[in-house]
Amino acid sequence: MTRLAIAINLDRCVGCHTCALSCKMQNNVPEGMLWNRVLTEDCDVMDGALGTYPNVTRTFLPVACQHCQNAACQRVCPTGATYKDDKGRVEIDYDKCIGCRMCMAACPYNARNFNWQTPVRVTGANYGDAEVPVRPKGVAEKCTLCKERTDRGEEPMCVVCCPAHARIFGDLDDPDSEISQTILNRKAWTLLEGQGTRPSVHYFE
Amino acid sequence: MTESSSTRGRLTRRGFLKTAGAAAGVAGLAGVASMATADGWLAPASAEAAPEEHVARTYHQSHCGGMCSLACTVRDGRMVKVQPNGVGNPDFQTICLKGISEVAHIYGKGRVQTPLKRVGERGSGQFEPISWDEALDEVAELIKTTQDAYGRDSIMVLATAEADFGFLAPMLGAQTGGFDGIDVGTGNGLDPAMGFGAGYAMCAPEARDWQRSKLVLTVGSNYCESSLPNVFTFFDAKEAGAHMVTVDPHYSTTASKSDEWIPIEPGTDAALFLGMISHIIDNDLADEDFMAQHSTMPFLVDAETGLLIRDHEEIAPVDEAAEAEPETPEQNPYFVIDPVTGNPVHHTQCDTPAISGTTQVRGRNAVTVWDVLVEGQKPYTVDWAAEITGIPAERIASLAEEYAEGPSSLALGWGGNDKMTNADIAGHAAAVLVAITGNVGKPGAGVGVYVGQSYNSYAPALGAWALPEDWAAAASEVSIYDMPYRENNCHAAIFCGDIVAQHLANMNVTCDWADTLDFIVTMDPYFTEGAKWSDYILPCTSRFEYDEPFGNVKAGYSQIVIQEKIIDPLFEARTDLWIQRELASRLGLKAGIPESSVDRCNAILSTSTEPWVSELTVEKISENGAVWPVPDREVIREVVPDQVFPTPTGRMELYYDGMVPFDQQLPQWEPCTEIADESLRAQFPLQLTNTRTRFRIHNQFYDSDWLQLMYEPLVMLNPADMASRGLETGDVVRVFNDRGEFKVHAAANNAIRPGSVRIYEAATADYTVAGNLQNVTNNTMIERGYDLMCGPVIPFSDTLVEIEKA
Repeated sequence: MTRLAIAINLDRCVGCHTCALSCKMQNNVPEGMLWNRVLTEDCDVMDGALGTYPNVTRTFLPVACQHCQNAACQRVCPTGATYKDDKGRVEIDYDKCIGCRMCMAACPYNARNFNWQTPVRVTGANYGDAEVPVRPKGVAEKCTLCKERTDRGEEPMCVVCCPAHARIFGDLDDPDSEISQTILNRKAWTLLEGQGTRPSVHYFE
Repeated sequence: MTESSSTRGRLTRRGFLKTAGAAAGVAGLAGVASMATADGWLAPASAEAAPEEHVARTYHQSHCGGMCSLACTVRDGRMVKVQPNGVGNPDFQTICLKGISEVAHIYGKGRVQTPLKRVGERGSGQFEPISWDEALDEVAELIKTTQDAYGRDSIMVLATAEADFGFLAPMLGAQTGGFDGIDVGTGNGLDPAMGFGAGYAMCAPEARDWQRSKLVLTVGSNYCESSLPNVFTFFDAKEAGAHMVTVDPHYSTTASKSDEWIPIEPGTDAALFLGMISHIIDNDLADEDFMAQHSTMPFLVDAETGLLIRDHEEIAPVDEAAEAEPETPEQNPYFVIDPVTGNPVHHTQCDTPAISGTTQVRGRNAVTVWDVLVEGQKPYTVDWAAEITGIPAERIASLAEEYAEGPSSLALGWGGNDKMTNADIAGHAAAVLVAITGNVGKPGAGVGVYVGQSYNSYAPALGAWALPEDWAAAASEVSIYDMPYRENNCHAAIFCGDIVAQHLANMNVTCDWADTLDFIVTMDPYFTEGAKWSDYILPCTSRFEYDEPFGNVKAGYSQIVIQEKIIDPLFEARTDLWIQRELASRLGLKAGIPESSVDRCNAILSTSTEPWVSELTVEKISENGAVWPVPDREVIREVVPDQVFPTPTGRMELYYDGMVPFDQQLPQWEPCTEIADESLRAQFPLQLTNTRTRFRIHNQFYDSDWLQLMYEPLVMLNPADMASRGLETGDVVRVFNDRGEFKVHAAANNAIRPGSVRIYEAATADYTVAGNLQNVTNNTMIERGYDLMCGPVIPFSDTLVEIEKA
């Protein structure tokens, strides 16, 4: 089996949002949406800090779809639009999505966006990868793990563009892969483990 | 998954909904005045035909130092995707969010779409579209009329780093604004000692050298934002075991990514270095061999005049009007003490002179520079430095010990203390700190600004297009920042980029001066605050548009990079070269401008002094992937590896004779002029830091929709300073002092030092709630500045303000 995933080195992450915009570009993500966000952990303002000056800390936390093995979104989807594919990715069949947004309520990571209106793009035209399907009004969308790229054997765009070299892409089912070895050796963790979602996306320091 | 890792204090589910991320900003943005509309240009191509797709390559911004080569996908004539481009080692294939944002930015609301002519008052932003022929005819006529009346140098041409207007000033015989007062604060003090760095402290090896350092001490630089495309080098060094320590008033991104952050009082970097120097001297940690062999520490100073003693007095030139070449150290040597005989000898006769000692030369009492330093450092104890900087004395002492042990890198910057009135003293003190520890010219040891790997890496020696012999820019007797105050012959200005709002402090003074000019022309792809003060605005192409297959050739990150045409010029924009050619044609000067940019590219390559460059053509580089690596670039680039400095003496020249009238021959502490003024501080208690961010390059990208998702102008205060003013995050505040005011949203941030507030630079009126950041910034030039290498630095951050709810 194959289970594609990303592991993110939070020590290297500088909170630059290059992952967020590279994703937006590649996947033709419309205005008002990001599939991939960089949070300043527990802060109300971007680039804030926890504590009292000068005893402060800050963690940048990039968050997108966690491609859970036990995906809450998939379990609640009434039409089977959200599905787990043969490469371990959580994907959406936009033709089957009826816009009920149960998935959005279920996802503990707030990883999904909804097309409340006909998508608007500031450039007035589609951008990004020609193979990425254009989503209509009334469907949910989210990180696909760059399905079109990874199907071609390429890395996700956020991995290619990360200036800090903080992202590792690979197959969790291959114990010798760089990502599997890193997760093992760097004691990587997943977000909200208590939710039982068993994410494929890992974090380490 | 282990229990310990699963119970880490990660976000709660609720946290993902409330935590700060993009698209959750506090500020709503006032609409930017839209330019003449041209809807047709933005309409998507017909969806009927099968999409045609191809990839072309260009380089991006030079003056973040990134100069990233970008592979750009074009579909149906539109740029739809931007990726890192390159060949070989992927470390040289760089990008950041700004390059990616161009996919939307070049089509964005900020573009100037047609030539514009002013119809309202200057500064009002009211223009009407005119044709290119009208615009060029009228501008050419104004140039002729003004030059006929006041001389050729009555026109000032100022081109910013991204502009490609190199022909304009020489063609017109225009002045070019003199020194620019920016980024030269530290270099003014450091570079004369190093003998290179151009006054911009660009004397560092490349940042990959940090991997070989034991300590990387960053002071006044935010590398993890301002050198974003190369930020991996910071972590490569950290993972290799370098101790990353960052000194910054605020908990910057770089501070938060370092092993340790040392908070410091703004404007006191010089005091930190002076304290460290004293501790190194007092504890015998100095590298005497380095000082004796590679610095001017052993040189003899006249104990009474404070001047270095040379073989003979400088011979006055016979014709005083003639430019006198200073005598070389060989023609007129300095004196040192021979350690064997104890006698004074020429420095050229003794490779390893005595560091310390007193003697007599020609009946004058003489003492070594080192002895002068040791004596002068006595007031600058570690305890004194602790008092000034707010850093505990024991930390200054231990930092000095760690730095002295080395190999250590001292990474300085342009966005921090560089914008203070005493920046040259900090640069000079850094030079002394480096010299007494020998932390230069060996693996893992260096000093200077490491930001921008296209500055610090291997630079291929590109040639140039040969200009006609009678083309030369005029001398600029008065620098632009002094034009409001000093008589000068500038009657009109051509600005390629935003000079009015971006390059000068105290904007109300700037605007009053700009309004005295007979005419102003701005040439820019984007509409800026400065453009509002223009009489004509000419729309230039972005880096992605060209009218020929190849636009230009540049030196990138240890590679030659080329600009291929990605798409046709958008709207009515024209290339910088086309605009210059058209103006030249109207002024009867067309013969000096290349007929084609491809010819120019190949001339730049073929006239190189390096054979491997001169054998290249732009077509050959294109076939290679639009980059051509510098040979052997995998080897980390060092500076002065033999510790022979490109100074007149070949040594680190630490003693500045020319600064004797200011008592700064060796660095002496002097506080900042404004922020250390206690009486002014009682009225305006907050120091305003205006610094750089990963979301902008100076004023660029403020109009980028995608980058506006991440940042809109915001003044950040410590929560205590917010509370004492009754402010809450999201409030609109008035930031003011005696110079003026502006209004922006405010946010509380624990990263900000109490008593200091931070805003990212170049917040202009279209993007703030009201007014320009530069309305309040300090433009006071210190007297000493005019005797420094690059003239005075504009002390943008030596600025006090008060903030209240608007």
